Amino acid sequence: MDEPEAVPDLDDVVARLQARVEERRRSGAYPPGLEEGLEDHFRRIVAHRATPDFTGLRARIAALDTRARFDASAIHAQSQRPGGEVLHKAVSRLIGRQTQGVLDQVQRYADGMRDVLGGVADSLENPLHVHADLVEQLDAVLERLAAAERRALAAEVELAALVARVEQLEASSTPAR
Amino acid sequence: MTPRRFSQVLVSASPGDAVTNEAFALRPALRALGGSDIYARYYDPSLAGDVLPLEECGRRAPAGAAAAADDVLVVHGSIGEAAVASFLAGRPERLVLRYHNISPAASFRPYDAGFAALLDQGRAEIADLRPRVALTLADSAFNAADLEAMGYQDVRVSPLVVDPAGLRGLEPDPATAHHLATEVEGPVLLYVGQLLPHKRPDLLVQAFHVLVTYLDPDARLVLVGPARLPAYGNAVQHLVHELSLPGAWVTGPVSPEALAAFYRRADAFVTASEHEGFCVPLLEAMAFDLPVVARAAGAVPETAGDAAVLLPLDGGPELLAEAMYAVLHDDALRARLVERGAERLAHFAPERSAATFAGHLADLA
Repeated sequence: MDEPEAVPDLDDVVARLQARVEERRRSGAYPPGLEEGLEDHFRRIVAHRATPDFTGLRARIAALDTRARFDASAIHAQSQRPGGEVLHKAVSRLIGRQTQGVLDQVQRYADGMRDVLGGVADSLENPLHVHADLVEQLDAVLERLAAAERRALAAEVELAALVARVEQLEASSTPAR
Repeated sequence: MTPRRFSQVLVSASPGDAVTNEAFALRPALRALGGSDIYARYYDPSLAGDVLPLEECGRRAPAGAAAAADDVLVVHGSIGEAAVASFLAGRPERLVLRYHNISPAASFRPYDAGFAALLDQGRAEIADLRPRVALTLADSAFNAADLEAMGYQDVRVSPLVVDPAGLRGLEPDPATAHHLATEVEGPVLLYVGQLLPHKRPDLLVQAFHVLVTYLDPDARLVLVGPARLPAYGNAVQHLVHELSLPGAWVTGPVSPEALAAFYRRADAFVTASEHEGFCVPLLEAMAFDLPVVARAAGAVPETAGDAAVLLPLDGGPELLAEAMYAVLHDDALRARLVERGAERLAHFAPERSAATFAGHLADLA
């Protein structure tokens, strides 16, 4: 009967795993800078693709909205002078039609402005535009990369052919023993 | 004499949430001590009736009896909420703080400054509550130390009341189970938890890249859980795409039945988290007989005990990948971890944890 396989302590398991990582790094199985490269990659993603926080803008628009209600009753008539309050109320009644007309115009403007601000916030949060200049630059870089890869591939093929010829020459020039 | 009431207060309650689950698990024990209901500022509509609106707290005392200074509110602390803090400030009941930890705001700041501010506010609220708290119960020694750093004294550790066997008893979601059985080949590594910066799913993806590139090209990685911070969740998705990892699957939130299907299909559980107040998925994985790889951070060592491969925090994706490979392919190691996992689960048996909790409450004079 086979002996049951001994299982090392978990601390030993971790030490063994650490040693294996070091060994693979030394042998080149893990390329140099692998971990740093991966971490940098994620950092670049976070830095370049962070979604801006629009909650503050939305909160300010909402606060503005609560103040965008215009009403003649909000115009106070109190006065420090004797009889002043009666006078203010009389004047407000006298020009009530004009006051309401102005308030209606301001209200319409405020309603329109609220729609515009909401639209601007929507556009900022969900931009649908394309940066044509960046796309062009990216295309150019990809083309150069493809060309470089083609050159590297061609060089490899030429090198392989050269190696084959050298081996052939060596074989044909080796004196028979 | 009217029996003392032990009501529970949560900021938010939702199905599957660990804090909500504990509140439900504690309720029978609290009802045995007196009366008990669960109140929350926010709750999922599916829990209506089981969880009551916070404003009803105090109105539900037995007929003829108002909320008394002798009654107790068990306050579950896990996030800030000004409305709950001001509500508690005006209550006559004695307060028991059940602390589950508040995530570190610093890791959230680059992605959502508003949410980071809420977390800071939560810590400030917990600290401000201190003069009113009659008893403090942390669900791990790590969380107890966190409270002590906020000025609390005599903090007791009472393990989280959690029942992973309940998840194991669920019928797996048929569609998910079918997909996993027919479409997902190769050994599966599973992560369960929110996609948040301090839980480091980005490091798991990096490690998975090392695993499939250099060690095991057939392996799969499934990341199950919601991305509360869209900016961070998107960054993790981008990383998966840019590293060209078709074997990595970020599922988003799933139902408990679907989660059961993922656990059943998985071959090992992995997490790279660097901050955990308890970490329920470790125990869930053990309940499904999965070997666990984690990093020795926060409360992870005390929850996992000797039933997980715990890597040092300074270990990077290469070490994590080696550990992933080991738990997938070293049968003796797998067997040992599964065996120890079963023992660890017994340590956190829910009835035992609930009794410990109730015992602490009984000490209230």
